[in-house]
Amino acid sequence: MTFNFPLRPLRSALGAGLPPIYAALLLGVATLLCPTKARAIDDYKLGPLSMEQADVPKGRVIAHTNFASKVFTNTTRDWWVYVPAQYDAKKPANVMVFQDGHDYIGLKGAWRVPTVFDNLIHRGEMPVTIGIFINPGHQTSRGTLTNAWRASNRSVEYDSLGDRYSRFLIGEILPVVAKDFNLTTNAEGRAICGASSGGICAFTVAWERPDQFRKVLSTIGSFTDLRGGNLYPYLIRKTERKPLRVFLQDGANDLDNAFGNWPLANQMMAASLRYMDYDYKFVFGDGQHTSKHGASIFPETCRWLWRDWKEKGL
Amino acid sequence: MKRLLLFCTTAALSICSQAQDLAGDLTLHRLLIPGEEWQLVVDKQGFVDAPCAGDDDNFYFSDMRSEQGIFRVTPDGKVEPFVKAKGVSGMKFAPDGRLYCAQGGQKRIIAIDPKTGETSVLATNVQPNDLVVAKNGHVYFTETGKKQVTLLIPKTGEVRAVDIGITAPNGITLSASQGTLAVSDYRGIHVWTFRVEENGDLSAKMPYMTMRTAPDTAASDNRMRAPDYKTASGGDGMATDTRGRFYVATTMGVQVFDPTARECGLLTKPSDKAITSVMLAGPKHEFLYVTAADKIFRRKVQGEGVLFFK
Amino acid sequence: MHLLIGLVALALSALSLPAVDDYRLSPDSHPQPGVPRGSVSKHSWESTNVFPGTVREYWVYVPQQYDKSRPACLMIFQDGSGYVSTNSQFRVPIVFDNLIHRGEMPVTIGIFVNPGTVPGSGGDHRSRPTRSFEYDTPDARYGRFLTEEFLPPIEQQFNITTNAAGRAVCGISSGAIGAFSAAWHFPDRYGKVVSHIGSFVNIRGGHVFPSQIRQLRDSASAEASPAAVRLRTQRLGLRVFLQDGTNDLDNLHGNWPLANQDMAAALKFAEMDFRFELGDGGHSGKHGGAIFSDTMRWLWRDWRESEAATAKGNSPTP
Repeated sequence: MTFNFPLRPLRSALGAGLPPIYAALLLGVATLLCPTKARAIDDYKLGPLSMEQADVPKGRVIAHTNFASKVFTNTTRDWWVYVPAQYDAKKPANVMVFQDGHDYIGLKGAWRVPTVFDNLIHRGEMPVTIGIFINPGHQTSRGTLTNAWRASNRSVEYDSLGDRYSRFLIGEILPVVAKDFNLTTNAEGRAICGASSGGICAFTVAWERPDQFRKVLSTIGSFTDLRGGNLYPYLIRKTERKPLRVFLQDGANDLDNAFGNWPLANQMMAASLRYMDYDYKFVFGDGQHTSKHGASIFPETCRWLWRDWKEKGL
Repeated sequence: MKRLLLFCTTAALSICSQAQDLAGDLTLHRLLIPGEEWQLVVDKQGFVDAPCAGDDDNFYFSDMRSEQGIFRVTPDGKVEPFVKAKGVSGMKFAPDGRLYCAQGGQKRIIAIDPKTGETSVLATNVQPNDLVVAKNGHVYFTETGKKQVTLLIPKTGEVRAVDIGITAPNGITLSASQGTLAVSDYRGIHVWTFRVEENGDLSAKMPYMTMRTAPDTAASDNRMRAPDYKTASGGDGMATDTRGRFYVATTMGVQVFDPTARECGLLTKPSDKAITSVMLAGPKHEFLYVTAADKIFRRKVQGEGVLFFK
Repeated sequence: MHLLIGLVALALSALSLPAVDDYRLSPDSHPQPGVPRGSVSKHSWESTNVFPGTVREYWVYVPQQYDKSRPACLMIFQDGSGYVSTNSQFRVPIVFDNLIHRGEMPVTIGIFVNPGTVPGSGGDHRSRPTRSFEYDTPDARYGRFLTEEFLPPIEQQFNITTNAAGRAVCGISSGAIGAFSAAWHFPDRYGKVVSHIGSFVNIRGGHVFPSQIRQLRDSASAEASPAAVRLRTQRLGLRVFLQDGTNDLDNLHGNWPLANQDMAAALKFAEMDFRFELGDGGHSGKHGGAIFSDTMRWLWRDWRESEAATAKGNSPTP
């Protein structure tokens, strides 16, 4: 068999060893059984849990601007805090931190996290959780930022390996939120999320500081050689297992560029997490380098991530 | 359907996630025991080092800041004074039953008879950091400041340099069959190995094992691609098990290598404090001990320490 | 519906299907009447410089068609004992005899070199293999061993082409990444690579190659030295054959099928001359051996043009 692109997920075809004739037969049967029209790739839609529901209490969103970091000097960034309606200052709330916060916070945006949280918390499918949505830094010397995706310090902050971003998050952002709200210190109750470079950033924080964050949600994660992140699948296999729960999503039509092949990189991550017996879930679709698939399954993913919150007393 | 199939194959594969390990693969799964984490066994000392195994179930260590110097931990966890020797940074039992100790502060190597407590001086005018004693009685020790590995033959009193040039030779151990000497470089990234000749000379010098270091992030900000990694591993004390695995205490944790120098894996440090050394000791020599500032931790592993004097 | 698909699949699988990794040798791997046989001789090598203190065995295959007045091509096999054996999965001397006789590959001297060991020094000191250290380290050390230490006496003895396009390296598992490393660091010496179930994983950091290959597309280094520019061009000119199987290893060092797909995707991205055969084999030479003569035909497909160009003095080496 000569290799054909686009890359298929490893061992995804039933009976990888089937000769072509049987494979074709199987495919034919499958096609007959699925009379629906072939759907376009990356055709994922938001479901009802991502839509505002009339009878569900709404949390509030507090916007912050111009955060000046000591870890990432001479940068500025906007950020937001979501506080669910069910928040009770007497009980420590769980925490979920989103990188590229602007993309997650909007009620009409790609992810609509406040709405999803409102719905899931109301239904008891995830615990009372304060959301922290942080934009990447923009160097003040670079003038005004018009598009948050173009923040000049994004790659340095998100793609770099090591403990620096976690020092910023844990040492600078969290204390500010903790001044106003009762946040849990239980790492099991602290999740971190991101897409693309934000995805590897989320993983890096938990990898470096499992004492602080133990739940990771990465979509279309850049576990490639932007800044050495292609090492992770290999590090995982030779590092004592960390107490992390990891969710990964990627699509067969994700990027293949000068820094690596995203679908292969994410398959490698999944294979490595499996090898080391991590508590992980890998969803591999046919999406491109977008958040469509990740956002469409986001409510389901949150349920999986927080599935045992009641038993764990989170 | 695709997703269903993916799910099916994933489920089938997850029956045993390590089914493809080869017999010779000394994986972390074959070293660590589920549920056996680091446990604190010694606390509130001055500065501990020189972890050491004897031909018994005890664990021996030195508190470099105490007058007593050498202590032992009994299998039931009791810490008791053993013999007196100040400032010992490395020690091993020798085939003659005595405890050989590196006393860098006093520029010497001494031997202590554990029965009588009698101390003899084996070498003077040396700057030993750590040492290992082979079955034939040869003592190899690191003189970190001199970038030197030195051989001491107690029978003849001969002391001679057998290697010069490693940036900061620190930890030192032998292979399970004692045919290979391994020396960790505290300020480099390699554990160097040598063939041990019958006359004690070292040959076949190679940067055999490569230790992991943390990324030097800030230094790499101005370009994409893999960062520079720190060039100093903090490679310190070493141990060997009967399957030929090498253990090195480093800045990142305990790094373990197989006999052919392939990395088996990294064990997380028990605390924020730097670990200075590592040793397999205690009951059946199946407990991995690490010294970390004023504390000693241990965990049970699937590995049995080698006693080189036997 | 799902149940139905399952039943169909089950029914199909009950038909007689070839087993996984069921590869057979072709007639090219068996001696054929009327084909001149080359000679194989065995030697040993003590390294004093690059891998000091190591000893190893090696074999030299000289085809009967070798003519001292004409430069022969060269192919170096790592883990040589496996490739040189005529009852192994590869049987290289037999395949070479057949293909050279038919003109499907050039007159090629085969060097089959084993990895080193440090012998024990007596007593119960065991010898220590340096195979992983030599093959799995993705730096220039193994290439230096071949180029600067091991090959020069052989190149003295035989008339071997200096054109990289006429010099190939081959290996299996760690030997494959060792072969690739040698060509990567000395592309002016070795222009062709054959990798069987290559360990492009993290045994000793070898997972870096896919990313390094992708970086070849980045020509932006205007400040790069002429040597760096030349190296990049030579690397882009490598011809690479990769074989792996979906049932290859997944262990502490990495996942072989994914790593080889990662290599193939990188070679494709860099628009290099490569071929990737992904079968259903495990970590063995069965698949690679079964297709070995095809691999040689693909690897040497343009040898006549290349040889003619060399003879005219305008070597096609980039």
